[in-house]
Amino acid sequence: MNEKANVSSGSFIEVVKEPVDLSMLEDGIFLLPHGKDNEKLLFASTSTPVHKLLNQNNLKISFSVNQVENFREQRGGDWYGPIIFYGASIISQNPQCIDISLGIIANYLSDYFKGGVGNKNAKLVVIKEVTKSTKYIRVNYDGPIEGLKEIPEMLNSEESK
Amino acid sequence: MSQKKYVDLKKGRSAFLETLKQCTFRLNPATSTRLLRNLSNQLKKFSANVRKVKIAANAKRDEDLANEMLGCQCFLDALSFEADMWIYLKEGEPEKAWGALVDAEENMALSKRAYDDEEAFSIFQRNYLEMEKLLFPKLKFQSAAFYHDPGKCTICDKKMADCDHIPGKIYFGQVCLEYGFKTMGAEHVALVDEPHDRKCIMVKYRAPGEDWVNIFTGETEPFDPAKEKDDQEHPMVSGIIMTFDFPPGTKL
Repeated sequence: MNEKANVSSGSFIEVVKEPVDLSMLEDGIFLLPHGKDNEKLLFASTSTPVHKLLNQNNLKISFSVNQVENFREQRGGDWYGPIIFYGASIISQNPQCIDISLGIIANYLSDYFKGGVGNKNAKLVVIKEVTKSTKYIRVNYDGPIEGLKEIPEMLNSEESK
Repeated sequence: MSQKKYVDLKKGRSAFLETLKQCTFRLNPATSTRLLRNLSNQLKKFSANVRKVKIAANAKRDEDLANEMLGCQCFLDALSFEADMWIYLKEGEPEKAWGALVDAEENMALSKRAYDDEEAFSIFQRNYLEMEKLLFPKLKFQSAAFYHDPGKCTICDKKMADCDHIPGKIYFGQVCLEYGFKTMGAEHVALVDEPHDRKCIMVKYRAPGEDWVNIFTGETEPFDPAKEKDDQEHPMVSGIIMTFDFPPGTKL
């Protein structure tokens, strides 16, 4: 276990604890809900900027924030990111997609927090589908913005176990 | 860039740097309250004029100039809020002084983001975090979590999901923010060391059966059971859990 991150792997049910079915996640990159409120799926409020950032950098998210009716905002000093799911096919088509998207998010956050008071951390969940519908790896990250770039290495390290 | 615009900006730049030099000398608690108030008003007027240039640059889609003016405006606003902070402290109003310091911090941070003006930041230097530690007691911050429906974009006023603007980014001298939620629901409030909003603080507390103690001054304030709900078993705290002001730069 890394100080800044909790890494786990297993089946879909073991790894993806959010209220979402495997059938909903076909191929691509998805933002997953954090939970439910009155039967409505609840997404992190940072889903919108992440969705736009990745889409504008040619990393198409297979889910539109247009469909979201309920966001959860946490007014802590840290940045509470969404849960990002990468399907096996998109990774095989674009093996660098996780590195690139985390780099885009890290750049955005470096600018966002520039000049501010206090230490700001990023909290983010990344789920990688290693083999279609069979094996998944999850990283719950909570650490400095610069450390986001270490997540791909954490995923690879877990995958090689 | 026209010759006239160049000359006007050059004059404005000289006045801006001269104002910063004046602040390095006068922006401190030894200065009389009367002069601090004059300085604060002078800074507010200057900032209002800079804002007009920013709005004109935005209308002409001159992003570099609009962002430079936003940086300059926020720098002047930060100094004005700092002057207000010293005035409030001198007048025995530490809670208002804290609010002014947080406004100064936020404006200075945005100034650095919008236009990292090395010359300005080398003339006038402040470490507001150190100022917090020196001037105020160690405060407990509060962080609220809540639900909301999709909001609108401050840049184009469309539904946030329908436009290309990214919350937090600066466009033509204006910060993009999602606002205008129709429904909001509280989830929880937590005590944190690093809050999103440094104005969300505990202001006073009381032990069961005793008076309130003001966290800033340490002085007691009477508890009025006729007006306030009492809790005979648990300590009580009173504070700010959320503010609804538009952050600096989000309104053009």
